[in-house]
Amino acid sequence: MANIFLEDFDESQAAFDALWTPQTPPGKTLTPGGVVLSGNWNSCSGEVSYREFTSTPTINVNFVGCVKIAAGNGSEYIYIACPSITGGSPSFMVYVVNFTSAGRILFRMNNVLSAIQSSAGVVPTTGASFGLQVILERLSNFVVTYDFVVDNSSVWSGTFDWTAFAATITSTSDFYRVYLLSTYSGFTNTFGMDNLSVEDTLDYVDVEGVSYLSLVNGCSGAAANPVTVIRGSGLYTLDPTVRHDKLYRDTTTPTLIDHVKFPDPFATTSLIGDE
Amino acid sequence: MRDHQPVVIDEFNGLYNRGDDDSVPADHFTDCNNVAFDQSSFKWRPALVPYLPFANIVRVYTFIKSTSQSLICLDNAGNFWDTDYPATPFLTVTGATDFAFQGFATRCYISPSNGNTGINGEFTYVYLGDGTAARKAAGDKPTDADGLLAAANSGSAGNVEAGIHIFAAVYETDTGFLTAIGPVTLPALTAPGGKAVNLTVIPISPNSYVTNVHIIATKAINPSFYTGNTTGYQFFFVPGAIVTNGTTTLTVSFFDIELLEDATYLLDMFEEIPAFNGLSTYHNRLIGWAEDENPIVIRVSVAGEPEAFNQVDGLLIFPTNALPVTNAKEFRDVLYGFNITQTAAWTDNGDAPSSWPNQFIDQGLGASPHTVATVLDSNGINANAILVGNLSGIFMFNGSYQLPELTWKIRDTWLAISSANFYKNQLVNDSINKKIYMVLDTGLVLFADYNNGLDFKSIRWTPWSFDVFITSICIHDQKQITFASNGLI
Repeated sequence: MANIFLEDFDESQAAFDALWTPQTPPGKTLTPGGVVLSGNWNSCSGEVSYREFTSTPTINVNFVGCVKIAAGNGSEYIYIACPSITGGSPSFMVYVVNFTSAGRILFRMNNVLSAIQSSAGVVPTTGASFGLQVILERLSNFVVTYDFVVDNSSVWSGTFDWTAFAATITSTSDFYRVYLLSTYSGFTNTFGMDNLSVEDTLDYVDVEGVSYLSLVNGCSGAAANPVTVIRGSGLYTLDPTVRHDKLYRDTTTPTLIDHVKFPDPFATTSLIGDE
Repeated sequence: MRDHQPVVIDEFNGLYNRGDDDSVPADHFTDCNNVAFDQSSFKWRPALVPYLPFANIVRVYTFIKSTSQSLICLDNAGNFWDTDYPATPFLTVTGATDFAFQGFATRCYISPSNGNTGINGEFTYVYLGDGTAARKAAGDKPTDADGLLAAANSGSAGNVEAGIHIFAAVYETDTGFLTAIGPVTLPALTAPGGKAVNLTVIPISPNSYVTNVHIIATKAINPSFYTGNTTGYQFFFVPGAIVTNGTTTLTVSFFDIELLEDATYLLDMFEEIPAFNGLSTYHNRLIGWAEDENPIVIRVSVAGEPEAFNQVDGLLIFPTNALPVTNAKEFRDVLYGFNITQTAAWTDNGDAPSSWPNQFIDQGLGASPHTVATVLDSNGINANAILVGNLSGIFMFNGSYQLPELTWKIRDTWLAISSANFYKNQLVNDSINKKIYMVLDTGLVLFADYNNGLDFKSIRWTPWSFDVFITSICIHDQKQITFASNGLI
């Protein structure tokens, strides 16, 4: 069993880190629109969050993903993809986690049936949003240990073998990518999560200590492109009782208003008189 | 003064800018700015006052929801906002500088564009109006990876008639869209007659917005004539054969005579609808035009199914192939399509859109993407006529262009508008207060009051200017005007 953050990978830890696209500030901090891993991570880069690295097939991959889920949400999915690339067309193994309104967790691999599911009520169905960690340890192509942690407590864990469905799964290769996806689609048509926390241990992450956004929107949604507010911009209406314009100075502080005169109001007629 | 005859001006009828100042009637202005009209007099224009603090807005539309209205806005960073949910944009499309919008039932469809065509590689999205993220409209069909649908004769008695039946699946999304038929590998079962059919490995969609799976089947095919082409036969919806997404087994039993609802049209449905430059409706169909790769094509959905666009016959082609389609509107049961200088018309003949007859209405006058005047907050059109703005002026249009144009008195002002940037202009008609607003690419507004009559003589024009750049305008809640600005000039 290997830990990608403590083991030598890609020749050295520095080389491993160097392959991530840097994002400031460094540190294991979740930030809206992106997260950092040991100072090097860029979520939503090219619409996916991923890390490409080399390994031998015997080295296992494990990671922790944290998300915040609205209670009672029966339609939110988490897709954790571990594709393999053989130099040609990529194929991939995708673990799918979703929930029912009864609070069950459904866990599938490559969407092959709803292979296993927890008992009801393991995740909240009412009340505040909960923090979920998904800890997977892929022991082989088709065998994975799973541990679902809700608000720092493990609620469902075990080992599952999908070998019976091997016909739909391709074999390993030399390259792996770990993705966390907000939608399930083809390899090149995916959207990355906004928030990912990837730890250097398999200990449970204290979800109270990090901030994160809903999984729902993914890269193209919740993480808005930054906007530099332009003075005067905003939505306005007309008031016939007011004799001057009132303009937003800065929409982030909507109470700050500039009062300006009407620009150059006038009316000119042309009268032709007798010579 | 002795012998001086006073000239009494008791009416002020707005700007007159057509030729020399000598030709300006006494009751008109040779020039004016920032005035408004009250009966026969004039006064200051209304003031611009803050409404909602959304920054850098380049386009705004009114979204009529089931019990309220909100505004859908695009800012200059490609973020799409619902003013009911100011914290988070519901969609972000980098590079979107404009967008098309159409409400349908309680949801809306949005298509990012660059002002002339839909953005290349982008799609039409559906937004439910509840603050959740918009998603691509339509949806993926069942694939083999979702489940290799299998069919076997049941041991139980049933009504499936003897012969070969091909089975398939169709996903239904949360907006009622029915996907194309799948999976790719379809089971062809030889039924002995008098038995039911057990279906297993019904595909499961990984998309959370898929709610149900519909089973479709062919009528009995004589084995002697079966070609082996599983998509070469007519499919029908099997009555009652609907399961929730995730259910993988079902037993069906049906007579061929019960297979009444054709499903073959789903074979050629778009799974992803391309981004358009404009959206509208016609005969309960969603229509979109000016996609990047086919700018002269108008796509037409199936009636009652706004996301169901048939790739083969759900389209209209503008009669000339020179210029992109700029606008399309339904008026008195006819669909009018416009490019910048031409107008054509199509009539629904009840058959596939590609068979609808068309004719040219005018080969000299057309419209721009936002210059067919909407009425109030319906984003629809006036029952008596529509107002169409083009390079020649603003016209009343009731099936033909009424001359002279409403901008006759301000011809020189109109001709000074940039033709290259004309696509940025927007025309809105407030028919309750009888006012017209034309937002120009310069950030100014041309305002008209037609309380004295909607004709070229009675209408009163004036320009309005502001210290901020006006980019867009909408009317909501029947009579509230909202201007969008992207900042100080």
